Amino acid sequence: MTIKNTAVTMTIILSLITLGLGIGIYTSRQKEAQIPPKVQGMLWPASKKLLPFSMVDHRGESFNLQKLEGQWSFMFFGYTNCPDICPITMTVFKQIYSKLQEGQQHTDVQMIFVSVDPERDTTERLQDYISYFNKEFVGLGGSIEQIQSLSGQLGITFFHEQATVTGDYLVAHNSSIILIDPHGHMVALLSTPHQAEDIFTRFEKIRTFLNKQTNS
Amino acid sequence: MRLFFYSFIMMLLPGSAQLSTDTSIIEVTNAWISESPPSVRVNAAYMLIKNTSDQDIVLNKVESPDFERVEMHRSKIREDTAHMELQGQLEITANSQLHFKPGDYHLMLFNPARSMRVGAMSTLILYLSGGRQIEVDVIVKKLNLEQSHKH
Repeated sequence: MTIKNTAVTMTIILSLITLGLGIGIYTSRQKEAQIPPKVQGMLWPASKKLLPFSMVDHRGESFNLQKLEGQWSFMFFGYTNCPDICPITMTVFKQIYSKLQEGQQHTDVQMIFVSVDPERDTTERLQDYISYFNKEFVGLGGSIEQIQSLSGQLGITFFHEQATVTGDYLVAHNSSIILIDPHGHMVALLSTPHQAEDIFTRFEKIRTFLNKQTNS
Repeated sequence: MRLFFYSFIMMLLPGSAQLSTDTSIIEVTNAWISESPPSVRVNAAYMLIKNTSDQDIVLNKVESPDFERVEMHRSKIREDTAHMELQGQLEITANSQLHFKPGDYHLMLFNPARSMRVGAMSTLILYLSGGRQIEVDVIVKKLNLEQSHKH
């Protein structure tokens, strides 16, 4: 009887341990499933070609869809009075561009800053801003309608967030970097946080992938 | 000189009725202003503030003799949109720290009274609870993300 009782007790204990482990693993997996994965960006291999738009660059010259063709374009929407996020992204732009120039394999790339603050970002100010970061970069501005003719197609939003008695205001704006291929298709949206090394690696993969698709 | 640039411990002024007179209760290190392009009339400033005391401290506001106005902000990315949230007061709980750093808390400095190119020095005045004021020497530097990420 004693041996039988011991066996029964052991069986119950083992069953409880197994049940406990099972519940533990299940609960743990449920918790993992509840944490959404961090989206680092999106790739649109079959996106539509952008429609014609018309803007003004930092030299005061017209900038339209044709200026995107034949080159890969990294594009960021911001404003010059933005003291934190925009200089950070422009500094990342500098790092990416420097890395792209190193190997001479990606010379067909342009870095474009699009102002979403037409009231303050005059052509002169854009020229100063662009020159400060890299004279080879492109700054785009224009009227609100001109800005929207491009931003609307890319799903970029921006709006005034705060105004003070002194007339200063902040502008909320998309923080992602847009990648446009040499045919004028928006192929990727790269979300924050932006790390130059990571973006460079992703760009090379995207470029290789799309080139293979084109050649196949 | 390097120590001078990167490590500033404050000057605690009189009027410290509620807080300890121990000058080590607040440490401000790595204070710097990010240089802006010449035509831009705003700058961001960053620093690390450590409350080494056993009492909570509130940072009420910041001023500078070299800027028309200073505001405390926090950058936030919500649903892929960058926002800057104005901060009224910031609490630094006992034995904790408040890090003003790129992409997070920062000071927004409006309309510099003089040129703020790399290497220029300025002063920030931190107004704390208990009537305390701390003057912090701050240097203008170029934004360096690699350095910022180390802090």
